[in-house]
Amino acid sequence: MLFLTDRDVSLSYKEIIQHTNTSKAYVDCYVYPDLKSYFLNWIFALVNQQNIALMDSDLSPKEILENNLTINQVVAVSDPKKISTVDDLVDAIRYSNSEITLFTSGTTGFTRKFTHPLKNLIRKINVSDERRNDVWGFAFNPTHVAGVQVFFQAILNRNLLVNVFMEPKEVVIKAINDHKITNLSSTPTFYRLLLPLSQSFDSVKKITIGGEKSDNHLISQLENFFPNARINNVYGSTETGPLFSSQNDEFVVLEKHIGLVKVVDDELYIHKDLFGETTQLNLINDFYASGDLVEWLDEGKRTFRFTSRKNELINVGGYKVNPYEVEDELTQHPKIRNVRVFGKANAVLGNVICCEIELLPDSEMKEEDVRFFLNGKIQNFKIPRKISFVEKIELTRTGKKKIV
Amino acid sequence: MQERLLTIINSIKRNKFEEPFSQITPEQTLREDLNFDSFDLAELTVKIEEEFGVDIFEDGLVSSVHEIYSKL
Repeated sequence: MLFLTDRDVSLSYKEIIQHTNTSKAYVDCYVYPDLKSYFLNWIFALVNQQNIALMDSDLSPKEILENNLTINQVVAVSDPKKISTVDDLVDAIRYSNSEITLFTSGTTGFTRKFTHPLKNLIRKINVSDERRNDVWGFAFNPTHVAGVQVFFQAILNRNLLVNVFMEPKEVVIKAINDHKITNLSSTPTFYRLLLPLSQSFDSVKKITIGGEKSDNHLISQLENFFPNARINNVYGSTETGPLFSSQNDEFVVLEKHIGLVKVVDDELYIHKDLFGETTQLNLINDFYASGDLVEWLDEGKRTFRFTSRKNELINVGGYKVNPYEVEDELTQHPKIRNVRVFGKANAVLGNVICCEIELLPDSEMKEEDVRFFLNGKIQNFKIPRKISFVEKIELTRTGKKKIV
Repeated sequence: MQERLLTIINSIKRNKFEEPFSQITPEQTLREDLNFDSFDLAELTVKIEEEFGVDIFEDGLVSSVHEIYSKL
């Protein structure tokens, strides 16, 4: 029974047990060479109730210094736990008292660390017999909160993980076909780069979208190519863990969360009870200001939609522009695969709206076509004044679009 | 240089669905004669910077074609 395939490397549950039973130490801040050794190291620490920091493989020396981290320090475990069956392994992970330290991806320009007790990280994980045969396309950075969720979801259900993170489109398609992947979880950017597809995939029964703002256009395209998939749009963060999910871009505040979620000046505030004990966040009367901007769709029904990130609105001559709104419009153009909208300092307006466009193969577009397409769809001040066509939109290590 | 500037100005005109110019003259003003608003001026600075590596508005406002020439 396999746990992981990563191109031509694989790792079985049996090998995990063997490794766990023969190891005597783990590395607590592990800059890992490959996914297999990363998981083996981590699982050994979890089984033995050890605390561990999950490090991105390309953390810079400056970030390491600023966070007082000691990299690749070996921690010996006296009398490590012995495992005999996969059930033992799963239980040892599930009920571990480990604390896991994660790092924010740095889209905001700096890295911050957060430590969670394991039970916080797995509280949204579903374990059941129905999920026993799930096969996961692993499409997140394994050290970030979303990748951690997928890892637990897969291992606690004894599933197979197929690594497709940062892989080119052809590799992802081949992986879905070869391994009959049933579950995909990734960022909107990952799915946009996968589209359009020349076939539909019947094996996929669940698609999760998270980590960036999604839109209904993307969701409806995914419905076409994954006809059997239930699509779930989720909201969570390194700071809070997973919080909301929905079938489209409309989220609802659950009855049990009333009083624990509020909106102040369009910003989503989350009560500390929703993300467990932490002293690592600045709270305002026990609420955490998420930095995510929302709008109520129906306040009575407690439905809302994410509109932007607080620090990402671009001020253009006194007008505030939400880059996601512009991106949402542009991604609906049939020739555009992916787009990134950002502000650039400008002497006349303070900032000028810029966009980078990645076209679909064999497509051509000119600047004026883009302008013509947007004209009348969004207000004039939101229209990008600098339009460049690029081979590829650069992604961060989380697989999100880079924010300038 | 004049040709390149004309190309830039006409790209902005086309972007706002206005007729391009066949030529420009130094005494033309950006706002009245070229009919550029502040967004068009911002676009102009971005494009000139890209083409010539010069930010024409860096030290104060520029109001005519002639003033652009002198900055370049």
